[in-house]
Amino acid sequence: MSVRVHDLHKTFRRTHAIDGIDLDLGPGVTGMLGPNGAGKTTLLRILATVLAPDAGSVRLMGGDPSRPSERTDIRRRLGYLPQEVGAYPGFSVREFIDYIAVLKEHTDRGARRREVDRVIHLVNLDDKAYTTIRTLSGGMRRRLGLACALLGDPRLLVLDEPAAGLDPQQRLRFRELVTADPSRTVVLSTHQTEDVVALCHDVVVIDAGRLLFRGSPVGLAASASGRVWRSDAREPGATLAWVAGDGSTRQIGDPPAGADLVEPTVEDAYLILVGATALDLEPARA
Amino acid sequence: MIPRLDWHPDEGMLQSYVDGVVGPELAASVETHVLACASCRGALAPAVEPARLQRIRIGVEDRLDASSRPRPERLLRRLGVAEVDARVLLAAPVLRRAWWLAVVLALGLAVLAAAQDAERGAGLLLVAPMLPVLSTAASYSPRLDPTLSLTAATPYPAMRLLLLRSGSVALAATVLAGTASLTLPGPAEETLRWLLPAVGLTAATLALSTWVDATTAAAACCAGWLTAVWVAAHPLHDPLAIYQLPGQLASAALLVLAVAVLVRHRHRLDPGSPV
Repeated sequence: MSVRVHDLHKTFRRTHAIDGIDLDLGPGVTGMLGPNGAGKTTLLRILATVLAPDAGSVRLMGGDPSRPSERTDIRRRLGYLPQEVGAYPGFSVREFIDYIAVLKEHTDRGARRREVDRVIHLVNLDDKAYTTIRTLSGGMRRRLGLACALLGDPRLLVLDEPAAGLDPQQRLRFRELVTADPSRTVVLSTHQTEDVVALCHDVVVIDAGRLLFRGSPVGLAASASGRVWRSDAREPGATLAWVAGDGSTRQIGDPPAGADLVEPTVEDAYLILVGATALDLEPARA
Repeated sequence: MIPRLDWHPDEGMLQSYVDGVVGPELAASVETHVLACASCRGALAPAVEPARLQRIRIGVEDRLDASSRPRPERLLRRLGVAEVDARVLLAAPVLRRAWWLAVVLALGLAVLAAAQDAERGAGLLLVAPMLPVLSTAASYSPRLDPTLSLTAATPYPAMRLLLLRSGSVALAATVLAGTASLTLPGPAEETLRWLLPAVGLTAATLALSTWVDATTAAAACCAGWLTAVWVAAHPLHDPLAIYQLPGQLASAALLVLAVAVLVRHRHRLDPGSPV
């Protein structure tokens, strides 16, 4: 297993950001779903070795990040895309990636130049290589951060909302990029359930710092079996209901007897797991 | 000179050119022709090993790189600073801002010193030790460097990054403030009495940074310094009493203590380290 987490806890003041999570992750793409404030970013920061847990154990690629020497060794094989990519606005794309490459111990100038060119090409920023960062759009900045994360072909990629701000074409390219090497372990957080379906062999749902679900996207969708139905109007057992494209009302919750049950999606299952309150939605009254 | 295209080197000549066994005149002639003649370039290409081409390309790129590196980086390299450290030192705009802060504060000090009388100049001497403290905090404060979320996940040691940045800025600030204070009336040994307290306070700022962020550490050290100045001055009615022997000894003790704390708790500077 590339990632082993046991009984993890992290508290900020009085808020339990992570409250007893156990997780084992192997090669492939694992998607992390959860509402804002669920603890996704905190967990990813711990996996990226930039935040230490208060309690619990973490093993990354066989190493213990609480030990300085092992932490350094882990970082040599790790790529991290933070939620906010902070960059020096006056730098060009190339200069900035080169700076991060220096910090990632790419000391040989020729090899570093080729590696920087490689990752710029991977994220399709070739024509922006000499553009200053302050002129980049949000999506381009995400790709810049992704390029930095991909330096050195890391064995563990930790990506915090990597697809945010990407247009559909870039999103497809991104999917191609993260699934290109099946031996690599990728952990990513997202709000897009379609990304989870398209990319991930494994999905975890967390809320309030706790693990609510761990399994395949198909398994997640199946967990909502019997709880999604449609009818002409909202019914009392519905936690959430919305009018679908065909004019019927799709509902999730406790269906009435004889309801017209439909095949649940990952999104349906996710909504049932985290509940309307966590999604900041006020259920309408029937 | 326009190369002749009614003449083409034969296969044997091209191979000798590739093997490097033709004389310099013939080599120059073949080279000029090949640059202009697409069909001879096509005939030549398969004879050259890709690995050799790659080596040549890397060599050319390395030379271009070396000539395009900025002057400060070349200067640091000549002074024996490793290339990686030179890049780390010069890459961060936050460091440039800290250097500018040091320059502006030191120049301001010099101008004020030149314009004021000796008594007020003494007041300026009390401000001097805070100069490297503030510049140091500005050089590595997470609040001022937007890239820390990215750089914290790299294997480059946090302690090395901190010492490189803060050390270079503190050195610049100290040299500048030292030069400025020499413009004050009085002998040099009098006007440079602030140096040891400045070094002690800077080290204390770094040591405190293992618990709190750099700007808070700098603010605490400056507040502590001003309090110490006031406490020392009160009984003796001498605003510069802090610079007498007890004050200097206390500064030396602070320096030793701060270095010990910094070495012992250096791991705390890494945000991924357990507290």
